[in-house]
Amino acid sequence: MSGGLPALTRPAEDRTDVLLDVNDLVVHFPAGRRGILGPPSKVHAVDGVSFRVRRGTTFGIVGESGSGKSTTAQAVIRLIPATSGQIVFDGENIADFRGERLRLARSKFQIVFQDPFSALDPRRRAGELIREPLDLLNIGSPKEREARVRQLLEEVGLPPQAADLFPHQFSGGQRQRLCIARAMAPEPDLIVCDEAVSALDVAIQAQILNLLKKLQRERGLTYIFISHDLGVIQHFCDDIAVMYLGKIVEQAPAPVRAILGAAPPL
Amino acid sequence: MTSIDTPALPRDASTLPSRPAISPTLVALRQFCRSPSGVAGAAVLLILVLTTVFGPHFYGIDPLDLVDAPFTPPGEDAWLGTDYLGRDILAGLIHGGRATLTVGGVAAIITIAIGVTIGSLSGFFGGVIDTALVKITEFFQILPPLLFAMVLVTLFGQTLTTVTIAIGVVSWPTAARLTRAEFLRLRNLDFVKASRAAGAGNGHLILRVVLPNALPPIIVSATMAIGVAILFEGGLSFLGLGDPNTMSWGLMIGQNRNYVLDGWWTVIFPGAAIFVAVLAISLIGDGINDAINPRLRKRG
Amino acid sequence: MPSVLPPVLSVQNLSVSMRGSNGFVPVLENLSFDVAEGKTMALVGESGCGKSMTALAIMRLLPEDFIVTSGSIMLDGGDVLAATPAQLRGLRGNKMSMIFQEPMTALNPLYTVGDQIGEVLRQHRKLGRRDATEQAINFLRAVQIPAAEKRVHAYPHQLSGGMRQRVMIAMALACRPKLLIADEPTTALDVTVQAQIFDLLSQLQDETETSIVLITHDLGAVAELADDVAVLYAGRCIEKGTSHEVISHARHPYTRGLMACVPHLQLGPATRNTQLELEEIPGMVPPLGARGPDCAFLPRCASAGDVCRTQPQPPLESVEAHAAVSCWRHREIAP
Repeated sequence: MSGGLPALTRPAEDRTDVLLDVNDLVVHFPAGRRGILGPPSKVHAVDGVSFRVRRGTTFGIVGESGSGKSTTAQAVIRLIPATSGQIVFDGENIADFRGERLRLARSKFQIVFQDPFSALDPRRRAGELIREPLDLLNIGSPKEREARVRQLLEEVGLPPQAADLFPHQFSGGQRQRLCIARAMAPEPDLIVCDEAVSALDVAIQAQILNLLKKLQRERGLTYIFISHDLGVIQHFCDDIAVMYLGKIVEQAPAPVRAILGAAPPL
Repeated sequence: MTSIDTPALPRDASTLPSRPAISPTLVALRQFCRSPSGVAGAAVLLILVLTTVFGPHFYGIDPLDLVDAPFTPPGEDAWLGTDYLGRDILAGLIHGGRATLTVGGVAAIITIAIGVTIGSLSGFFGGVIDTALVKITEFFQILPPLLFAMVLVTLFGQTLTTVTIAIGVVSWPTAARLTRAEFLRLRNLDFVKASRAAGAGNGHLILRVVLPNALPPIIVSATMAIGVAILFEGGLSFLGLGDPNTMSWGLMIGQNRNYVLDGWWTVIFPGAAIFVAVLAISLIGDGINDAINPRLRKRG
Repeated sequence: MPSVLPPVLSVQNLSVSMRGSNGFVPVLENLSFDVAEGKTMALVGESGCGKSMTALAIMRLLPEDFIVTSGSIMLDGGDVLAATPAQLRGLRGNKMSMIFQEPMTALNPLYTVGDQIGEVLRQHRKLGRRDATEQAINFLRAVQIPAAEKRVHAYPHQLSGGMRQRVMIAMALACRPKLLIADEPTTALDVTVQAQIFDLLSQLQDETETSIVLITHDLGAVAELADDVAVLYAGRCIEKGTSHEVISHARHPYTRGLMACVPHLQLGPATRNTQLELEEIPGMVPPLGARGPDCAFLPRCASAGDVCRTQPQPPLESVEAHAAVSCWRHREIAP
């Protein structure tokens, strides 16, 4: 079921509408050698994964821990080196990008991590953290950046004075809002949410999911949403892929419940 | 920049603290001021530094002049006595302190500079670079430091500069290993990845993101390195490998070591000076350690 | 009837405070509940609501700055709060034991799982080394670990998260305690494994008649496993009752909010409502020290009225035989 989507649930897929096209992505990790002279052994964390993400939609990846879903997503945005495969983002194969070209391309794809406690540098103030991508990618004048930080805080539901606080002064949900504001800063097209709500309390989880959805509505953002919680995935995603041991084993648009029904009872 | 219409999003400001916290550096400083040993050490060190800086203006005797009979005991003529040539001990302490403390400070800076550079490159990049740098570090570590320093000083001449550099060059591996370990721990944390995703290059990641978070233990080890360097200088001078033309505490002990029984004061006073300086420095190190370690903030 | 038997655990008016720089700050206020033999009591709430503090208070393992200011904890007829350190050592492991959220950090990485289970048995049952290992294998079988004879010699890092949690359960049940406290036992595990652990717990409970205090934020788990529920908010019990009653007919707006904001997996034909906004509870749990006498949920409550703003938080009021709620407006909210 990879690739084409059934016409009965959605209008036929327009090729130009595909923001991200991943082809046969492979990620290997070295795992030491067998003996001193033996060949270096490898762990196949991601083993030939292909999928397409349409612009403005949410692509969900589910799977148990160790199934390679986070590795896939982080390899797609070039945070983990891919061993082979094509990553066509907005018409360009970013798998080939190197050095400065890759660094500048990063403004178009951002990430929100699972643990908002480790995803923010404890020694820097919130405003500085949100401004970092703007500074690094040289977006706008210093004055515009300040205004943008304020605007971003507003967008994620935090007051402007939050910019002067240190990460430890925020609660878990508020920190996740900061992470989202930071990911939004360079106006990306794609945001990877790597278990972005899994570490949060249920009530806070709903707040963050609604916030992500609101931003998607307003900005036409595209998400890759990774979770092990089928309920959340089903609620949030337009298309769903199920990963198992480094491979996509099922793929379907979310309203088709068949694949979820086939999963073991949870 | 795009303008956005924000439909009344419920503000999540219910319990934000109204005032920003002071920066972690200031927190640590404040904590340091609360540690009695750290403050005591800092006070003693400050007195020593002030004495060596301003002392010569008030006590105008040249440490190399022969002012009195050799082995004049402490008393009216020379407050702390004279050495085997009749040079004034107190003048030696004041002037020698300058050299000793400078050697300690500069050697520690060299130690940390080499160690942090090698350790951070090694820990941050990993792979082949790491393997190569670790091998180099290990090579330097297995050389007996005192022997190695003696070889360097003999080869390049007995000047204070050579001694300082020699001390720095033999003692950096510890700092490198410490830095490497911190970098290995930090480099995989999400906030480092987040910065990379935000467009940070390797230079920015090393200097602005990882290094500031790795600094606390490095600062402690830098402080301790000063003490070690002072002892090292003393050791080299004691063995007759110090700079004979510059008065230092180590040199005083080294030159008078044969006459301990004839005039205890020739050796005890410089020895006590080294002891007090090193003790003060390690108290400061302990104070800094205490100040930065209870930083285990509660989660949530 | 079970109500005739005295409860295994009886917590009455328990209050816990934290020693702060400006005096005592209440963490837990006036909590009361009973757990009968072979029954499961669930404590539900967000983090910061006092769930874990309750568990630690029962185990007498409260962190340094936390003290029990009032109330009583009776375990199997004995007063836990009055126990001497020597008595406590006998109670812990023997009469009550606890399993933690993160099974990796709760197991000692330097010993095999057999050693660690055996340790408990040798301490409390005075078994010899060989007997202890044999018993350990039996316990590993009881928690359905395949190839128990081999796994008994495995180190914690050689096991998966689910296996480790099973080992923790085996350790906790090794001395057949009257009471098992499970502090978020499945939060760190995969969904499929979560279900297995819950099944295992309820099966073991049927066999051993152990009472369980289950601490969780997952109302699904409550529905599956618990007989009774207490919903905690900011250190106060705001709703209590049989789990059936509370789940099917939640009265407090907080409980209702908690249930509405979890997206549940729906099988079967597509319905469009899955893509709608989730219900959310705005804001967050007030931090310690910022809790006044008025209803702690007031700032986040969508149904708050004038009565809520003018009156202090009402005490738990029995609504029916099996339900009690602390809310001024529960009749209007959930008639």
